[in-house]
Amino acid sequence: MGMLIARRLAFMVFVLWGITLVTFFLSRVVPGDPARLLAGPQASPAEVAHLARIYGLDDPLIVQYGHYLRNLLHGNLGFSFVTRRNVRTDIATFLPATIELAGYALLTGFVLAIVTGTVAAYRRGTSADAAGRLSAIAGLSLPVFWMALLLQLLFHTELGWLPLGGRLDPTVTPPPHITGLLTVDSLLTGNFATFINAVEHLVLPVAVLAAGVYGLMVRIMRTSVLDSLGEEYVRTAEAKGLSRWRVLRRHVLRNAMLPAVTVLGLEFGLLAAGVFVVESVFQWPGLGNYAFEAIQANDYNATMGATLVIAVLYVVINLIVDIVYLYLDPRIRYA
Amino acid sequence: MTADSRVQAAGDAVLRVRDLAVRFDSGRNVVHAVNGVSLELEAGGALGLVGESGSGKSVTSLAILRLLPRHTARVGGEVWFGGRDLIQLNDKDMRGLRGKEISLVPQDPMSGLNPVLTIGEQVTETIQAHENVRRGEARRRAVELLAAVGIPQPGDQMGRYPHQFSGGMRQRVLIAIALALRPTLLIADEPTTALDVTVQAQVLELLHELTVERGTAILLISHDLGIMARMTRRIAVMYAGHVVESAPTAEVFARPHHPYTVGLLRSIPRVGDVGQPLTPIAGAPPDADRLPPGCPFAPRCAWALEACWEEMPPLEPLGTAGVAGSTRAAAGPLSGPGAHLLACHNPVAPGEVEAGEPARPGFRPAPPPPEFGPVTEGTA
Amino acid sequence: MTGQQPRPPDPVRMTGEVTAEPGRLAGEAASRWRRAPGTVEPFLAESRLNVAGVVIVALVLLLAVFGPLIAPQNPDQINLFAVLQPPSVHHWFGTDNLGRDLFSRVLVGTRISVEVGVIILSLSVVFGTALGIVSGLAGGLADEIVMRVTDLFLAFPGFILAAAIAATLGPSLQHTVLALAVVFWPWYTRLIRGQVLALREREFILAARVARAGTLWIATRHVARNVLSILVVQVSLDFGYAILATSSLSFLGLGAQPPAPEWGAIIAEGRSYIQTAWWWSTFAGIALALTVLGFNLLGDGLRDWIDPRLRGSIGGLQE
Repeated sequence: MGMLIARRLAFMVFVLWGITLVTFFLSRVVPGDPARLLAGPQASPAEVAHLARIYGLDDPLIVQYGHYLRNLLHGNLGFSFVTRRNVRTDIATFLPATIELAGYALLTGFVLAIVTGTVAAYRRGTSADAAGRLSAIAGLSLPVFWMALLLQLLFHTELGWLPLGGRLDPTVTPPPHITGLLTVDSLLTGNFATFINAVEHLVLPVAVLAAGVYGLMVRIMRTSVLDSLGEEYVRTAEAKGLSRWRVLRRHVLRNAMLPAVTVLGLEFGLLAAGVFVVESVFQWPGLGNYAFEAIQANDYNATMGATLVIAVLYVVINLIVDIVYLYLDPRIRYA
Repeated sequence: MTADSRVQAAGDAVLRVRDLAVRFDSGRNVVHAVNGVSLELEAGGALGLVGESGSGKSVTSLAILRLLPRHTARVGGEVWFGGRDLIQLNDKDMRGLRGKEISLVPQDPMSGLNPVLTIGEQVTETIQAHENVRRGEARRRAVELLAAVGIPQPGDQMGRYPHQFSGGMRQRVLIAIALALRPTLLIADEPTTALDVTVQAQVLELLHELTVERGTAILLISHDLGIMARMTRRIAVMYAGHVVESAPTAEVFARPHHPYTVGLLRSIPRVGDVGQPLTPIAGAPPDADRLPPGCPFAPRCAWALEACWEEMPPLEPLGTAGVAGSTRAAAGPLSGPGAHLLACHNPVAPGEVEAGEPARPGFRPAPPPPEFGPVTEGTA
Repeated sequence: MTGQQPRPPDPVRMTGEVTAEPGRLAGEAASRWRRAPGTVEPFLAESRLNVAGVVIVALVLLLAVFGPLIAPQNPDQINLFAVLQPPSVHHWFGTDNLGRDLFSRVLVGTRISVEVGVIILSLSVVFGTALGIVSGLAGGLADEIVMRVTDLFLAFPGFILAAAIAATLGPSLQHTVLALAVVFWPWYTRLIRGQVLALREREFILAARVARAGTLWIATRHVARNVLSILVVQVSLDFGYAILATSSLSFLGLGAQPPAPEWGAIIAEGRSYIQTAWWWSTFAGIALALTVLGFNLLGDGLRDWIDPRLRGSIGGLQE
């Protein structure tokens, strides 16, 4: 098992290197001139050339890449031309908002999918099964941005129940920064009004994001619960006279969760795409929104930084999922 | 080790199955898996259910435990156990019986244990499901049980996982689970099929010892007549969801009367027959979703009469004096350990068993009636 | 005396699970698939959702072909006397702020979306499949390189990569299509290579080797036919996602640019009017959602039809 993890780690390093390569060369093909952007529209060609020299923008690409890698190893992601701050600082600011949003969406979608997938498997072939399948496919099919707009129209404009976007009302003071997750920080400081406000802002974007997570997971849960139900150990458990709940929890789900865990990596890819769109619609000050604005402004350091962080998170989460899987399955753990 | 070493317990049957019928209705087609099976098993007794794969023996056992998938399986008939009809019992009471009064040793020790739970957890949860005992007490009893089924250093094995055990050891664990609460009835579904021959013998020996010791009645399901001869006092032979012959074990081997039983006996090797080819039964069992109207064995039967194609004969007692030819003598005992029951229009005469075919001048099996076309594909 | 008896063949274990679903036997699933191209009825009879999927996809394809012909108005026709009109007999889906008939725009948008799906998948399937077959058959260093490259691409969240590529190339529908093809191909390479590897060692391939048939002949004759079924399922699932991703990028301003009546672009245009003219974004969204739903229902149904448990080994069961 140690060998397996070592191999995964080595692979991760390779992928991370590849990611820097891809993002770097992608961002340097940009038609816009970053030095011109930095200098501003009124700057003379001489000034632009000066700035380009300062930032090394006139060096050969391979030299620039070398600089970039060296900076990266020191944790330096460069300077954002738009926010005029360090990209690392920017990401540190925006990442917790995204983690909070994606975390709740993952949790919500996952729990709902476990329930639906299990019910569908237990009642396979019935209309409940078909309804579960339809809901899952719908969750994957409904355009995230369109759903977001419709929900805003219904719950904000028509009913007035929920806010339009953002993380908190402008009138609400944010809680002190502890974890960066507003719901956690407000609870830690005992500020319930802020907590309620943060939750209200979370409901719609989380619902929209969770739909996709749910759609992807229901099918896997259904299949793996079905597989598990067909196994003889479930019959052994029933023959022991265990309660139905205990059979479900300890024997059926305990095994069915193993394949579901491996899908978490895929879920992250789906979430990343959703976050991108949802943060834009809901004006959520997160990494997706940051990356989107950076892309539009040709702010290549910010673009690369954000893409890099998302890709690294993706790789790391997949690695963690693999290790968790190894740990959960005693057949591999003790092999 | 023979079945006769069991202490015969007088009194009522511990299990009495009457006209059990199971069909699976998946919407697209209906499978008649069990068609009116009646069985009786006295307390502390040992009954064998024998038949080919698909003959309905496993389905019968699962129907008794009420473990068939509830949305596709339709179960009819009566299953009397401890004064109650299990078919009519509510789910909660049924769960109270399972594992405590009636337990199951499953077919496949590889998949019969949950791969992600430790052996200890799987044994103790049975005890804790039925008795209000502390964790420590359940553990102590589990260790005792593992020792009783012959697992070395049982205390150390509690925390290990099923894949760390051999097939024979896993089956011992499953037996420990099944006997944990000293059940009245143990159902063992092909308990040794998946094991090596040498391990098979050990596990059977263990199963025999422990059930005799505890006075547990055993319903043993197998396709292996050799195992039946050693483990049971009575055998019911099943074919296509019917019991076609039922008699004391020795009687089945000495005086089989159903052509199918004869075929089964002739397909096992015997000492002295070394070098001689085995005689498998020609053809294959019928599909359970389109059974012929008459006796399901007729298409493969060398004794078939015209009546066999038209009507399934009922399971009836045989004359105590035995059967000569096709004449029926006076009815013997309807039930009880001694009864020899048979469902056949044209029983095999004693002299015909060795030959495996009718020894009657001019006799030819009746051909299928003309309207019978599609079902005869089983006859090779 | 025990253990010597020849065990009778055991095609159907009489366990509740297997008996409960007689139609789910592996061999049967394969044979069903084999005769599936000719007969559609059993697939439709399997589930009403399959019928829904087939009907929606057929309708979408029909509208993609004939939509522009039956559109009541020119989708770009500006009419300042009829701006922001709610749905009516004249304008079924209402009009936008320039008085353009939204029904006509959504109808014409169908062709754009289907074209987009066709191009993205043609590019990625042709490229991905070819590379997968070559990689699987060649093995060795070539295989290693191809696999590491796909690893790299798959290590990115696809949508982010597509967005970055589309943004880099400059916002346009063509660039979005290209970007999504870049994201999709590695999946096909992996899928096909896996199938090729599984099939490579099978007897008939070995037999063809022994018979000194050329590697190319092996590739085209045996492998291509065996992987076709799994491709059909994957393509129908990806088709919906390709359309959805294109619309999402258009919505973000990275794809189709105004005045193109692409659904995502229409929804983006209507976004700022959502509170006063709800119909603007709504109908384009319904069209998009239904289209994607149709392709997903079809793909999902096909996958079930083949049997979810056989995924990854479907080809192996043909022949």
